[in-house]
Parts: sequence; structure tokens; C-alpha cells
Amino acid sequence: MQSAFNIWTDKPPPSKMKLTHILIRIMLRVTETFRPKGWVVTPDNDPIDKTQRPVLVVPTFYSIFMECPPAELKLALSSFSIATLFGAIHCAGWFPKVHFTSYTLSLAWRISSTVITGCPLIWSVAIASLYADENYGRSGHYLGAAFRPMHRAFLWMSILTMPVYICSRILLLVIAFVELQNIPPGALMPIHWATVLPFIQ
Amino acid sequence: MNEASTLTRTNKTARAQAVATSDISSGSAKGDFKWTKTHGFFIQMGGFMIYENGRPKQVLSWKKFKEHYKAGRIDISTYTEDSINDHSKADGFAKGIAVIQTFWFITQCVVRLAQKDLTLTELELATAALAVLSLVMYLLWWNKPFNAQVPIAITISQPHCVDDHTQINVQRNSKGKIKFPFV
Repeated sequence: MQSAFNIWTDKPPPSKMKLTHILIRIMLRVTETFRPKGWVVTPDNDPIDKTQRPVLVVPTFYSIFMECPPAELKLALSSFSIATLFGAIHCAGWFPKVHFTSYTLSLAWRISSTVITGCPLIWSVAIASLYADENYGRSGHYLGAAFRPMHRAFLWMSILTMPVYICSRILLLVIAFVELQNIPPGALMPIHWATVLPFIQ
Repeated sequence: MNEASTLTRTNKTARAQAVATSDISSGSAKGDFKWTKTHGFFIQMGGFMIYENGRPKQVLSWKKFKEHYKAGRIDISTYTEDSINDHSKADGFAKGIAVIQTFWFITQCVVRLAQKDLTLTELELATAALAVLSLVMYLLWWNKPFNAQVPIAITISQPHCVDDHTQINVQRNSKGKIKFPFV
């Protein structure tokens, strides 16, 4: 039985990183000044190996570069699906059970929660179509030609939605605290578990 | 005599490498060592430290680890998953309690949303979303050693130095200048 480790180590060294997403590049440029050292590791700037003096402690946000485009895709898609789940829970604010002090705030919550649910989906499509374009774009299949315009379009949508996403997240947090000024009586009542659990009452 | 010693060393190196390599391939036959997700987390945390002359020299990166391991310069057969988990301050029990508490909060939020006479505040809703995120985080990081402070010392055996010398020997032999570094 061959372990997975053997498969990795016996592999020839990767020729070149393929999944260099322009979006990630732009994000890197934008966050260059803000991000902690070693947050995003590419083969070119591994903060452990590429420094002059020896490193005895790994930077806080250090992570290993995976050298494997499908794994990067998997990572991106799973992260974005978790982000979608995060937004979808906020969408529970659409229920009339969640009380708002004003219609404006209710509308703001609904719009923001929709935005933070939808944006990660757009980003997923952007990443997936980029991967599809890089790997199957020149395969000759009639669908292959569609990947490039698709990823261009979704890339621009991603870039445009990013500030909207950030604003929505901040807005949701602010609304959550602002709504504390008027707490409905039902929010202060304890849960009577006997009425909740079925077949007990 | 010198040639013989060099040869012996090379031979030993080759054997050491062969042994190491066979250890990799027959790792499962040996029974104990298996490369696990815990190892992956630990090396990413900088948990493996290269020691030289008894002092820490450099964090072992994944890339360097693969290089050394392929060349047979590292013996990791004793660093089992259990020995790495020994560096962790939280076991499955401690993590399980945290998961249960988080899950309990989410359950309460769901009930508040479902019950007729109860309401859910927006702050609870936002917190529940974060709680779900932390649940996911706990599941993903279940195997990650928690709060490891002391790295595992790795010493790199130096067969490659002997190899370098033998290469020099061969080159000089071909040029006709025979100088032996080991006198």
C-alpha cells in the first residue's frame, strides 16, 4: 500500500504555477501594504526560505503554497461556499420573526444579507471559469472558447462587487448593534424546552 | 587507503539512502509511521526545526523537507502522529466541549426563530453566523496541534557532503591531479 506521501514526493517538480489569478494579483497589490508578512505565500516569496537570516518562528498567517492548481481551486471554492453559508444565515433576517425598528433598517439588512450571500457565488464562478479557461480553453472543444469571455466578465464583476461586499458586512454589524436600542419582549424570554421538544408536552 | 575510506563512506551513504528510501516505500509494512494531516499542520506551523550542534538553526519548510527527505537526509520514522499530538494542549475532549457549546448556541437561535412567542435579535443572528463559521473551523482544524510551543528537533545527516567530496575526487582524477581531501 503506497501512502499519499509517496505520490507527492515521487512527483516531478511542478513546472510552473498555473493558477495565477489576476484577481488574486490585484488583491495582493491592494493589500500589499496592509497584510502581515507571509500571509500569502507564492513560490517566489516563501518567507521561510527566501530570507537572508535564519527564521526561527513562522509568521502568523503563514501557509504553505500548494503547487497544485486543482487543490488551489478546491480551496477557493470551499472557502467561498463557506462564505455563502455565512451570508445565507444572515438572510434569516428576511423572516418577519426578526424585528426591525424601521423599514429602512429592515431593507438595509435584506439587501446586505443578499449581497454577502451572492458575492461569494460570483467569485466562485470567476475562479472556476479561470481554471476552466487555463486548463480546457485551448482543448478545441466548442465550450472551450466560452471560458475566456466568461472568466473576463466574472472577473470584472468580482472586482466591482468586492467594495460592495465590504460595505455590506460593515453595515450588517452596525445594524446588529443599532437594533439593540429596541429589544422586543420576545427576545428577553427564556426558551421553554418542554414546548419545543416534540411528544413531551 | 584514502580512496578506500572514501569508497566506504560513499557506500555507507548510498546504503543509508537506500535504507531511508526503502523505509519510505515500506512505511506501511513497518506499521508505525504514516504521514498524516497532523504532520501537515505541524510542518506548516513551523513545528519542525532544523538543529545544528544542538542549537535551533532554521524552521524546516515543506519544500526543504521534501528535498531532504528525498535525499534520505531526514529520518522522520519516530515522529509519529502521537508524538506530534503530545505537543498539543487540547485533545478531542477539549475541542469537543467547545464544539458542543457552539452547537448549543446555534440550537437556541434556531428555536428562537421557530417558536411563536420568541424573537431573535439581529445581534444573535450575526453571532450565530459566526458560530457556524467557527464550527466549520473546528472541524477543519480538528487535527491541528493546539498551542504547540516547542518545536520538534530535526537533525540533518550529512551524506551529501561526502558525495560532494567524491565528486571533487572524480573530477580531479579525470584531470590527472589526484588530491584527496581526507588525509
